[in-house]
Amino acid sequence: MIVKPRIRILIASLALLFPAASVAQRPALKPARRAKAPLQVASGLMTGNRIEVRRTDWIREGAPLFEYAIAGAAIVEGRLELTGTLREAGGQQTAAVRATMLSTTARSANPWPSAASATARERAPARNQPEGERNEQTQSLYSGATETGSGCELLYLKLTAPFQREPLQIGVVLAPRDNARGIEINQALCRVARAIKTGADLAEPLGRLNQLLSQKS
Amino acid sequence: MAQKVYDAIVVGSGATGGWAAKELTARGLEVLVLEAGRKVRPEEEYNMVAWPYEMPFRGFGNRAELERTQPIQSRNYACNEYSRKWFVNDLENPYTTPPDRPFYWIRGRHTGGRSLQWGRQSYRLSNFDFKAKSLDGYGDDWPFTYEELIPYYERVEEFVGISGREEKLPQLPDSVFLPPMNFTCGEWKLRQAVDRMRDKWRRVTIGRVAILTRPIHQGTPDARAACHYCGNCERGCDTNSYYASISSTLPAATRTRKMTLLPNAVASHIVMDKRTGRARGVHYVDGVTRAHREVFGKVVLLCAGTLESTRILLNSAPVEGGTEGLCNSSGALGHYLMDHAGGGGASGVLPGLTTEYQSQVGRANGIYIPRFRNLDRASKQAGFLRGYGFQGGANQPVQMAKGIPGFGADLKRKTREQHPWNINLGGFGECLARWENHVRIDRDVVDAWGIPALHIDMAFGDNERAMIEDMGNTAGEMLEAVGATEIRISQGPTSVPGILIHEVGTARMGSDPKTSVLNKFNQAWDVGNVFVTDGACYVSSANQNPTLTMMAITARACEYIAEEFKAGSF
Repeated sequence: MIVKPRIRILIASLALLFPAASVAQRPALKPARRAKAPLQVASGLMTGNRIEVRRTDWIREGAPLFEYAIAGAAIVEGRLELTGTLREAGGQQTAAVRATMLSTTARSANPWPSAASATARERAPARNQPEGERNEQTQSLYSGATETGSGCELLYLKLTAPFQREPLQIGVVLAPRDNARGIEINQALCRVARAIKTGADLAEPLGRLNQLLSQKS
Repeated sequence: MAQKVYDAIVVGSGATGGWAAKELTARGLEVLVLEAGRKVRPEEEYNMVAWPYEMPFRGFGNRAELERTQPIQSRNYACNEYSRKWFVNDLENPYTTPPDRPFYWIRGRHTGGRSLQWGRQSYRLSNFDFKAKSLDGYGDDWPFTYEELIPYYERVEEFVGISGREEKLPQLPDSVFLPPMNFTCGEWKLRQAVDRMRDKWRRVTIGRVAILTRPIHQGTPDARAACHYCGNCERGCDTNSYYASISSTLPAATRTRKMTLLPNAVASHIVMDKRTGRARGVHYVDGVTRAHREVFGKVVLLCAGTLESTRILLNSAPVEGGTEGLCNSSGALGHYLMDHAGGGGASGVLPGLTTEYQSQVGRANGIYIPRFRNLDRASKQAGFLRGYGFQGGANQPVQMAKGIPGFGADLKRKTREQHPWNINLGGFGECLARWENHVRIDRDVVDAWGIPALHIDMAFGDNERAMIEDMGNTAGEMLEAVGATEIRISQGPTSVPGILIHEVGTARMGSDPKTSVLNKFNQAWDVGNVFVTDGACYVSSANQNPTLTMMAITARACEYIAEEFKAGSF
C-alpha cells in the first residue's frame, strides 16, 4: 500500500532527469487515449508447487513481490483456474488467491536435438568424440544432451494480489535444479492445457494435477 | 499546437530500419525512426576485449538469472555474460505456442536491433530462389527477378562491406567483395578434396561476411576500420568493423539532419485515417513511462523484424470478416512462417596436419558450401525439393583438449603440445512455405507495455526432415573425401524452428492481392502508404542467410517510395 506513491514519485523524478528521447530531438507527440490499463508483468520461478514472483520492470528489477503456493485446480469457464495462498515478500500476511492460466510457451531444453541424439550415426568408432568451438556455424553439432521437456515450459498466469489494484500477468519458468516435484506439476498442468486445446476429457489430467498439488512438499 | 507530420515513420532501427533511414533521408525525406528499446552507448557498453577472469561469472553469466529472465534467449550461443544485454527479457516480451510445438524467437531491443549481434554471413539469392516455383512447381515465385535486385545488392554491399571470394556460381551469385579471409590449412584440404569429387555445383568457399578486411570509405564520414580479428563480434565492435546499423547507416542518416531517432518507443499499432483508408501514423507506448503516444507520417515502413512487424499489423485492426489485422484482405497475413532447418551435418578429426598450435584465434568466419541439390537434372533429388548449404570450418579448437586421454602432468603436457584438427559441416536447409505455419495474436497474454502478444505455431515437415537426412550423408561423404577420421554424422531430428534466427515470411510479397500482403515494392496492397521491408516480406526462405537480401529489398522499396513522393502519391 505504501509502495505505490513512492514509485510514482520515483518515476516522475527519473522521467524528468532522463527523458526517454533525450538523444533525439523529441518529435511533436500527441498523447493518445489509453485503450486499456496495461497489465503489470512479473516473472515467476516455480519450485515444487511454490512460485516466487519478482519484478521485471526497470524500477526495481528482480525485487521479490510475493510467493504463491498452488493448492488446487479446477476448470472454470473453459480455463484452468488455480487456487492457492499468496504471501507478500517480507510480510507475514497471507491471502487466498485464485489465478487463471492464460497460455503457455513450449521450449525444447535443447534446440538442437540432433546433436547428441541416439539417431546420430557414427561412421567410425569415436573413442574421444571431437568437440569444436560453438558458434553460429557449428552450434547444431556441439550442443548439449537432449532433455525431455513438458511441452509447456513457460506458463502465463493472471492473478490479482490483495495489495494491487490491477491484475498481474506472471510468466512462470521452472527452477532448473532439485525440482522434481515442480517438473511433475508442470507436466500435469501441460496435460490439462493439451486437453483444453483438443477438447479431450479433462477428468483424468485434472485429477492427476490435484493429486500432485495435494501432496506435501 | 499543430501535429508534426513526418514524410516517413520507420519502425525499427536494425539492419533494415537503418537502411530505410539512410536511403530516405539521403533522398531528402524527413524521417522518424521508432526504436522499441533503449539507446545503446557503444563507448560504455561494448566489452569486446574483456577476459573471462574479468567477468563475475567468467563469461558464462549468472545461470540462475539467465534461466529466470531469459529462458528462451539463453538458448542462443551468443547470449552469455558479455552479450546478454543485447537480448530481451523473455517475460517482459512474451509470446506463446501450442503445447509441444516450441519456437525460439530470439530478439534484441535497442538501437541497432539484432544488427549488433547477428552472425554477419551475407549471401545473395539467385533465380533458383526467386523463381523456385517455376522450376519445381511448389509455392510461389517472388514478384521480381534476381536481375532486378542486382543494383540494390551492389549498393548495399558497397556501403556495408562484404568480404568473400569470387566463385562464379549461378546458384550463389558473387557480391561486390572486399578481399576474402583466408582458409585454414584444413579448409584448403577440404576445398581440394571436394573439387576432386567432380560435382560442378559443389564448392567450398570462404564465408561471405559483413566484416571489413580492409578499411572502407576512407576520407569520408562513413569511414570504418578493418577488422583486427579479436573474434568477439557479438559483444559489440569498438572499431565498427562489422556491419551494424548503429555504426554505419544510422550515423549516415543522422548526418543529413533529416532523421529523428526515438528510442524507448514500443510500437503498438498503425493509426488509420478512416476517411481516406490510409495510415496516419503509429501508436506507441513509452518504454519507460508507459505513456501512450501517437506520431504521424505520410508513409509508414515496418522494419521491426519479421515477427514484430507482422504483430504490429495484426494488432492494428480487430478481427473483421474472419480475418485479423490490417492489410489482410487476402487472409495471408501471419501465414507462411519459415526458418531454416538445421540438425544435419558431420564432424570429425583431420589427420595429417601439424598438431602444433597454429594461431587461428579471431577469424569470426567459417567456410560455406552453397546449395548443390535440385539445381539441374543431375542434382535432382527424389526425396525432397529445394536444397541446403553448409557452414562450418576446420581448426584447432581449444575444446578438443576435452578429448585428450590421460590425467595429471601427462595430460597437461599433451594439452599444451597436441592441438588436433577438428572439421565440421552444419546444414542450413530451405523451409518450404506452408500456410499452416502461422502466427496470430494471443488475446490473453500481453507484453510489459500492455500490447497483445504473438502466438506462434510452426513445425518443420517431411521435406525438411528428408533434407536433413541428406545433409548427414553428403557432409559425411565430403569429410571422408578429405580423409577425416572419427566422423560422426547428424541426421536429425530437426532443429527447433526459430533457433537459426532466420525467421521470414508472414507478410509475403506477391503478384496477386488475393494471395499476398505486399506488392513487388513491399507496399501493402490494401493500404498504399504502408510498407514492410524486413524478412516478413519473404515468399520463400531459400537456404542462404537472409539479412543481405532484406537490406537490398529495403533499398529498392525506399527508392520506389522516394519516386512516389516526387510523383505526389503521398
